[in-house]
Amino acid sequence: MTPLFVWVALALLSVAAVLVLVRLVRGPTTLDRAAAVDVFVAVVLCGVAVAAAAQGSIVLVPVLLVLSLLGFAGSVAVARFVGRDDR
Amino acid sequence: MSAVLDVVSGVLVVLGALLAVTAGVGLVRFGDLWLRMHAGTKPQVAGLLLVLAGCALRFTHHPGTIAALVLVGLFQVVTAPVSAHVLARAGHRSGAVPRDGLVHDDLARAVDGDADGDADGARTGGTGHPDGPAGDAPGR
Repeated sequence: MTPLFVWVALALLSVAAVLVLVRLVRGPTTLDRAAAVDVFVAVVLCGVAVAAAAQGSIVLVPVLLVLSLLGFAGSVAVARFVGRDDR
Repeated sequence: MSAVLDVVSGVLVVLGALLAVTAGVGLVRFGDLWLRMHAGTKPQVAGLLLVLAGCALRFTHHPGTIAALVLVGLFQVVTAPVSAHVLARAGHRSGAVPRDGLVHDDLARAVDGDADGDADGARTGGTGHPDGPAGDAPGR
């Protein structure tokens, strides 16, 4: 891939990750933080996919698979815990 | 041909990254949990699928990798609604979301227990019965 596209995409993803981290730090409730973690995992997935495309090597593809399978487990666990705790 | 594929994959990847930025802005700017989830689910499905499509165009010589990338997208499409559902329900249940803006709230009956459910049932029963037996059957 053209390096210009790679750098533009990585810069945009970095901006997105910083914004998500702002919500992760500030989020008034635990659920806001869980939603932010969910989005952060998606942004990291995008970043790893861009890195794999830029290198043209397939060593990062298993990382993508594992992240997309297990990334939702954390926020689901937090959401269940909060729901049971407040009831 | 390869140059065209490179440009197309680059544009797809940048579009996906732009969706991620919009999600970040929405996550910071929006007011409550449901609005933030509405903004945040864009890169989770649409943005990631765009980036994966751009990535797959780089590996056209390697079908196994394309199959793995399709699996990644499939897993994300399957698991993102699960976490969104559980988070939204927990937000409703724990009171993290203001309910006064809701037009219709079916979950309140299940979450708030018997008091609200009975009141709601009595109301629908009260309006339901006159329509039934005393209603328009003779007229029609």
